[in-house]
Amino acid sequence: MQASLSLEEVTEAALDRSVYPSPPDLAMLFLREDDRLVLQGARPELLTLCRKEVQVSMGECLCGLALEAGKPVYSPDIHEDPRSTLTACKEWGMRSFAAMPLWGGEGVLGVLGLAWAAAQDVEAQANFLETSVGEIAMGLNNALLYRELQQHARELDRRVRERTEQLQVANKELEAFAYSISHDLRAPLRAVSGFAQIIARRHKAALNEEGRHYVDNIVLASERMAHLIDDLLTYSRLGRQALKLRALDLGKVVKQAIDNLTDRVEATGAIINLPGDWPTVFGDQTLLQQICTNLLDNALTYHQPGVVPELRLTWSMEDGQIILAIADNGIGIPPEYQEKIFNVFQRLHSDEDYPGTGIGLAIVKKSAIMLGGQVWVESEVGKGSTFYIKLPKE
Amino acid sequence: MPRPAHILLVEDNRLDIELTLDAFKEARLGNSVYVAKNGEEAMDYLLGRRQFGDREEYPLPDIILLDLKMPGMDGFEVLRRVKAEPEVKRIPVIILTSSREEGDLALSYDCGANSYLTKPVSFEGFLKVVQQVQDYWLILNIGPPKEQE
Repeated sequence: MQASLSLEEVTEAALDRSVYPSPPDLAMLFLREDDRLVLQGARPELLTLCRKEVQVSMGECLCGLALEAGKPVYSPDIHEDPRSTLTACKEWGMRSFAAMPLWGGEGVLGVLGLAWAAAQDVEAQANFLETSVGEIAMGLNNALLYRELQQHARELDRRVRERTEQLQVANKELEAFAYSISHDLRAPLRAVSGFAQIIARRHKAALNEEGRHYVDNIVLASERMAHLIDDLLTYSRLGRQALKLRALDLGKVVKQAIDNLTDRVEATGAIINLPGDWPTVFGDQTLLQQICTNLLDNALTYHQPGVVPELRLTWSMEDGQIILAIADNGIGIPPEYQEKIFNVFQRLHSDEDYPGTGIGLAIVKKSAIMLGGQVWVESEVGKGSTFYIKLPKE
Repeated sequence: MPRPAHILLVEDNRLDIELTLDAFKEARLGNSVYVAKNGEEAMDYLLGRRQFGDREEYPLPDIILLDLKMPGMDGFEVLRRVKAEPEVKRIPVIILTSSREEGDLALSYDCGANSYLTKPVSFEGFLKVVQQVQDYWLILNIGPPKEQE
């Protein structure tokens, strides 16, 4: 018999009557379901029309006894045999019968029933029958295990799909929430900031020094909150916006990011060293721009007091991916924070010392992941940090 | 000197209305502004329905400044209806919103917006936007012909 994992093929082989020296006139394959046998197939196909109904209980008739005992049950003449309680085989003109249990790894898997219309000395064929049934049982065992495995795989697949869908829905809801809350926060903020600025412009003379100081505080705080909302919106938009992936000149993207920061570069007097040539990377222009701008902005922000920021940008290739390194001579990051800084709202410094929203690096990380890349940092406190971004080349 | 232009501001937020009007005042624009506090009122005004029957008192605006997010009939719906009405479809509609979402941008232009501006958070930014709206839409730009004149 062929090594097949398909239950249909195994059934087909089990019911092939031509392999027996004295081919039976009827072959039935029952599969075990708990304490019952359920007809899986029969040859000739006279039984297949009613196969759903053909069930035999444990201990019932010859096949039920074979299931119960786990041993073959032979009957030379079922018409004379008191154990043969069911009438069907007799009505179909059968006389001799062999009920062969099919043993698998975990017990009896089913019973093969063979019947002959002419009287047979079935016990004389026991050796041959038991050998062939052993092979059938092995095939059946494999096919059933395989079916179970497939069911598990399908179930697992279904669950993964279900969970993924749930996660996607939750993610969408969260992003929609961040989006709407950011918008809803903007309107009152505009009022706070707008009217405070109107007071500062037109009514400063009417205020005493304390009053002017407080108005300035309101204006400053609302500007800070505006940045926070902008960054939150950018972060929430990352997951919702479609990516436009194409080959990009990394040099152009970096130079554009530096242009965006011209004011900050001039204010800090920063020195920025760039490589002479640049590779092409595969990515989304907006996201890549965002990554570079945020990292350069950080390098300009977190510099040591009284030290001119010096940035060095280099790139290398590893396993067909481009790694961009942005090194600074800034204050550095303690080892225990080098992973945490990429989380939303993780800040290491007060806003007084170093202004920031705590979202910039989270945006960098999320963008890098969306581009199929990654980002990490190497840093030494008091010496500086190097941020690395790995990006696909193709 | 351009003749004072008339502006229809469609905006539901009371404080945003006040800020916008204040910015108009500060920018010393001699324009008249009518404020519609929701989409329904804006359509009534534009089509001369209800109390807006008198065009002397409620003239058709030279431009419409339109907020997107309003309860009831939102800015997109106002935009669609304006662009479907022969009498008012040529009036430039300038979206004035706090949203920078690509989806909102795309839908606005799909519905026939003539311009899309975001509301800055700072008052100085607001002043600048109002001044630029005046300079471009009411001075530099040549608007649609007025059939009644």
